[in-house]
Amino acid sequence: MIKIRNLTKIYSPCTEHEVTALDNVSLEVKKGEFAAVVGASGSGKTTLMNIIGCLDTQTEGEYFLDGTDVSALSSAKLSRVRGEKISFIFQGFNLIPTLTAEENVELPLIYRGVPAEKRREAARLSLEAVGLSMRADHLPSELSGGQQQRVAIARALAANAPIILADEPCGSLDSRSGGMIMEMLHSLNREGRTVVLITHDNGAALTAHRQIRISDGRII
Amino acid sequence: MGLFRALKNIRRGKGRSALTLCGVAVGVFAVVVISGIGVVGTDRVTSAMVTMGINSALVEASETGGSISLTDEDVTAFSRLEGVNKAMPLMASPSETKLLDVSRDCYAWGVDRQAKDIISLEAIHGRLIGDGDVEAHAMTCVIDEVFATQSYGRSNITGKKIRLLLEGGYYEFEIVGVAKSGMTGLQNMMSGIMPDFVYIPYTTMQDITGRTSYDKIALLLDGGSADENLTSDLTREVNQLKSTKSGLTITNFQSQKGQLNNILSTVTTVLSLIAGISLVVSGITVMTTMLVSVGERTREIGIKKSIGAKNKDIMWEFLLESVLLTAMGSITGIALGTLVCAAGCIAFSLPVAVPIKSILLSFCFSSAMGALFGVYPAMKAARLNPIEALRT
Repeated sequence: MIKIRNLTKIYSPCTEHEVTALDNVSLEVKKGEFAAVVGASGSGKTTLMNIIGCLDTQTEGEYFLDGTDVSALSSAKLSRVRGEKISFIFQGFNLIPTLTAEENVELPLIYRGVPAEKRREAARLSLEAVGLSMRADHLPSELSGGQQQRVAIARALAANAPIILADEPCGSLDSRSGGMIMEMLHSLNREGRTVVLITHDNGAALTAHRQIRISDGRII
Repeated sequence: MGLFRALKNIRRGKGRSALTLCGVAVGVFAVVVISGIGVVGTDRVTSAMVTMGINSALVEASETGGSISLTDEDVTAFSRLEGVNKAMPLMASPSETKLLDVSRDCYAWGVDRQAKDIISLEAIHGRLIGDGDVEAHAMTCVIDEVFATQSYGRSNITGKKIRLLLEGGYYEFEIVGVAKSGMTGLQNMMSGIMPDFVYIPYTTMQDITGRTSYDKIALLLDGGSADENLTSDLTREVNQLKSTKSGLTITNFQSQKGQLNNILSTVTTVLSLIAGISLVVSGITVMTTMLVSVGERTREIGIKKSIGAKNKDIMWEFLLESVLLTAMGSITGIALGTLVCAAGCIAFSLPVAVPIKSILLSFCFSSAMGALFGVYPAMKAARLNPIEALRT
């Protein structure tokens, strides 16, 4: 599903601020796998996630997503790949503050051109799956952190993307809510989705099928 | 849905959106009111020209053809020309009147009973010069309302005597009627320049001056057909009748009306353009508002991009917002402007006129302005790097 070969990412190349965030990284994540990328802050794991998530492009090396060479795609096609193949779950939830829970969940489908009726149906079902049907009309600010992250998971569910990229999904949650989110990620994985968890928390990483440890931009 | 979301976003920055909307509204308001004044003004001038006798034309000797004299046969012949409804002999003589022992300059006109139709003479008291006066070579006259009011302080002075200086001697005439001053407002404004008019039977004028011919022949043209072409056709025909090349000219109010209308519409257009500058200013305000909005919503744009929004989607979202903002502003401006125009018309008891053309034009123009000035902020939003946008 995800195949990275000899990938290097250098920020501000050829200047005195040159930073090598990823140094000759190679990794592979198979379809249906639950992989954890573990590393301390500054180790390059977020850079890796941005590249896997098609938000950023590498300086050198190859990245194949589902067999497609991503570095060759235009910005519009990258947006499309993002919308259809990848769903993000961020530490900061990244919900749009002025939209209700249901509208937030609908959003990826709007950009895919899904008709309003179908969108609403999908949003309703997704919110039900994360146990937030009662909160559909609430704004993010009216929800707890755990609930907001569940809305983000519902958004990923509605988008129905095969890959879920979770960047410290429990980072700003208490342990009980964090446990609930981890359980949801596992159940998404059991349903057949590929999950890549990025974390510095060893305990959470150990629940994954496989741990990829990263330090100073290299895989160890 | 897109429209609904745009409206929701406009509501988010309530105060800012309201101010921007006001800016656009004021600009459009200015354009609508100024063109409204232009339309009403043009209407007024046109109707004043109609009371002046828009369908009248005057045949007279041109500067080169001084020796041509017009006769009764010519009057009959001219009246039979195509496009001509009526013809009337007209004699004119600068004169002086004595009324209540006050002398003042005036212009004496020799006319017949057709003056009512041909030069739009209208009696407000008494009667006009009739067939009886013409046949009897009567010493009767009709004077201007303005003249009457200025001499007697009231307009109804029928039955009074007036002395007219013609050919070096004073002749006494009886005032049988007072005529409404032809050009109403216009003549009032120009009364300092224009002499007072006194109308007498043309036969009486002939007797006193000893002339048998006429200076001019007044024509009434068929309504609606009085255009430039008819005037030049008639000029050719009357010259043929009198076997001259260009001894006679025809003056028609139509061409004067055209000139006046040209001047008026130029003035209106220039003023509207100046008002249009305010539309450009409001366009810049829209741009500022949208730029601030993009700055505020950077993170939101990042989120949207991370879940699959294309640059195009983001661009349309912001563009729709700015066009909607200006459209709402211009509708407000149009509503206010139309209201003020209508109120003004009613206050000055004029027929209510609405400048539809400028309303549509300024609506389209300001919406286009919204789109034009919205493009830059929208492009800026669309081009944001999603990673950097998410980091804010």
